[in-house]
Amino acid sequence: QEISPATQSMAALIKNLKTYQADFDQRVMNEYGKEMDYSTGTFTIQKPNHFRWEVKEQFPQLIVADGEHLWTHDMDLEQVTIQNQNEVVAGSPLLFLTSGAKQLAASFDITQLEVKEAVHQLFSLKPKSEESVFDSVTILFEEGKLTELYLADTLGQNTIVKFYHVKQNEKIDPALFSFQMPEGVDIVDSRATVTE
Amino acid sequence: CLSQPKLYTPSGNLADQQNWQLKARVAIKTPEDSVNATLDWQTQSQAFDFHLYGTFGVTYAQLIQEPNQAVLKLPDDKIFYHQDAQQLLYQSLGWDFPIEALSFWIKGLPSYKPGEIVSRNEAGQLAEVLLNDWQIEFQRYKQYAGYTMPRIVKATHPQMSLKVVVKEWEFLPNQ
Repeated sequence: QEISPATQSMAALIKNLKTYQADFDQRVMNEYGKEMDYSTGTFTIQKPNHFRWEVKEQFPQLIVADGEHLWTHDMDLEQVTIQNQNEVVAGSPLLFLTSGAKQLAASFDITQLEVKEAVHQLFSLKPKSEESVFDSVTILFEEGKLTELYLADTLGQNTIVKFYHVKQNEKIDPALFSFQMPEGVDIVDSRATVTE
Repeated sequence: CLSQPKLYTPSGNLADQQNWQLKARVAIKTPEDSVNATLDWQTQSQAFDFHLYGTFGVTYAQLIQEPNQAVLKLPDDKIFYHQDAQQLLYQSLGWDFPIEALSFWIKGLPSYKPGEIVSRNEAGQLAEVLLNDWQIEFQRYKQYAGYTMPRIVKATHPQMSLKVVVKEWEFLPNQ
């Protein structure tokens, strides 16, 4: 598997990333460019496989990956879904922040795009797997920090995620990656449906 | 696409409102799968756009009914056509899903479809509806744009279950 220069330079940006914390806002645009969804929240990652995606606005949600399972608490639906992490993360765009050069090369065709700002690095990732729901993921790094994600799905819908107050490689309270089951929610345990 | 004059307050009774937009959170369970999604549902008299999407704005399904054609869009560019949206859903996903009836139920109104059995709570609001194999429960009524409507609608069927938690209603002048 020959690793392209673009993949190598992106991998280099992520390699020394142990932890990542940021606030985000996310906008979803339909194919006519009309904003359909706006959400804000916080995003925390700790290598190799812990992350926390907390959505505060419009539809509050908490997604916690504790290294083994993915817990999704949907406050409106009063429901917690439990999934096996390795089955889910494979498809998610968060994969690239925790992958090495080999894994990146195996999952995506990566090219580096022209930018005006010297401190910017812009990468376009085309998922190799057929099942990926994304046509392409574009990632912007400013001064080596992830600041923007642009996702286009196969039906012309675009999602822009912007990250602010980015902190890298700072110590993170492990409690952030352990999920406390709230009272009175329906539990959907999707681990059980793992077909042997 | 639909233009949105700001803060139009609807008048007349709820059943006559033909031009509205709804935002809700939806949990769909079938024997094989359980999906949580955001529902963006726009209706303009007989035409509607019923759009389900997930985290990172990924479209799960979009069903559009125009006056003479229905289109169902699924991930990986799978696009299906039929005159009627309900037939289209059944043919492509095997879902026997009464979209037209749901457009009444979501307002807390009976659909008046033949064979529908309705029961009400003490406040006279719709509590439960039975239609063919569907059982619908209505909970947590609250005020939306001046109308009292259910915040939660649970629809169960031997083949699938749906929980809709309504976030926002917006009514527009009837065309």
